[in-house]
Amino acid sequence: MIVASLKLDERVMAISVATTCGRICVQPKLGELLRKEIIESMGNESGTVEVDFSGVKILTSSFLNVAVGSLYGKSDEATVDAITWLGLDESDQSLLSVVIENAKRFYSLNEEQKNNIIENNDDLTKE
Amino acid sequence: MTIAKCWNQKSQVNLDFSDCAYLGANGISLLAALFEFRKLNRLKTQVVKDSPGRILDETLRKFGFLELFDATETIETTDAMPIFRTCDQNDEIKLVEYLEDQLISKASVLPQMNDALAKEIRKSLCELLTNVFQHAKSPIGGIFTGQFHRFQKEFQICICDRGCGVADLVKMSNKSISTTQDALSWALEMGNSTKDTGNPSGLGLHLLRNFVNVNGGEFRLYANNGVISERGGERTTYPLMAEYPGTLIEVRLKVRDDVRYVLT
Repeated sequence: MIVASLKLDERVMAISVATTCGRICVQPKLGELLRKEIIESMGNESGTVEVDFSGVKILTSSFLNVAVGSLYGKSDEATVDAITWLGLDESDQSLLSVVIENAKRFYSLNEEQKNNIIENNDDLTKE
Repeated sequence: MTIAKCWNQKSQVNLDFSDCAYLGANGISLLAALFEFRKLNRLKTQVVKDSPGRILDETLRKFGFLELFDATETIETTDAMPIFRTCDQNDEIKLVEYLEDQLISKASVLPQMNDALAKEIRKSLCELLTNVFQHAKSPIGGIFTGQFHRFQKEFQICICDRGCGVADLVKMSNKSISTTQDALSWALEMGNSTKDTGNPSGLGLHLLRNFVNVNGGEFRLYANNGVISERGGERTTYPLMAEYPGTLIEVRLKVRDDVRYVLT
């Protein structure tokens, strides 16, 4: 007897950081480009998202805060945690972990703490 | 006269090096910032002719300091990184090229530097470049320079800006912090930032400090009227004799090839 199994066709949405942002990923505005591309790919409900850093020479927290950290404020944690990060050496993998940890902490601040930050920055702008 | 009084002095400032026996990368970057700030405000600064002795004259030339004043050519040496100034936050590629050039040209005299260390140095400089433009709002941009200390096998990098200074920025954005020491300590902690971009931030200085500690080097931050320094995980803060209206970050790194750099 032949038992047929139905397997969902799982699509992989692959993003090359070097192609999108270049080999030197420092500027927050470049991070925005990557973030937009990741968000578009996450919109595909049946697929998984793979972000490949192969070919990137320099990666900084200022870039990753915007490209990756801010995703935790725009989507639920489980969805962002499901993204696969590829092509990172040990040092950059560690940097990414710090950025993610910092982002989770940032978005877990309660409303009062966030208001305090905004209030302080409003004062700063006035000064 | 102390340098603190020179920033906005209307009459010409004459830099007299007669009594100066030694000037390192940090002093050079500070004087370069003074010169650039005054130039921007159309105020004159000059080096008193022949006041640097022969050795100091050579030091000033190898950092490219005298080139700021006239056509005196910079001397290519193996122990000094000439001044690199940028007013453009998109200059990270030029900054990386500058550093690569320096590391390559000095490679023959430096102890072997592994790829991981070279990578962390590039990364740290780029983080600091972003900091200068995101936080400091320095009218003269950022001034980078460096020095190789052959006997200590240390590589020193200095980044200087003439923004409003980290300590004052922290005090303005945090009403609960009133002392410079507390402000400088706060700025080094993970996730603390004076700028609300709506995104997570505040990792640059924290990561740099961690990297220096792993390396066994030294981290120093001069801002406004205080200094915070860390070596071997031990933190010291002390007041500055003369207020510096900006921020100067000085990092000394051990050049060795047997350490892996994984930051947490």
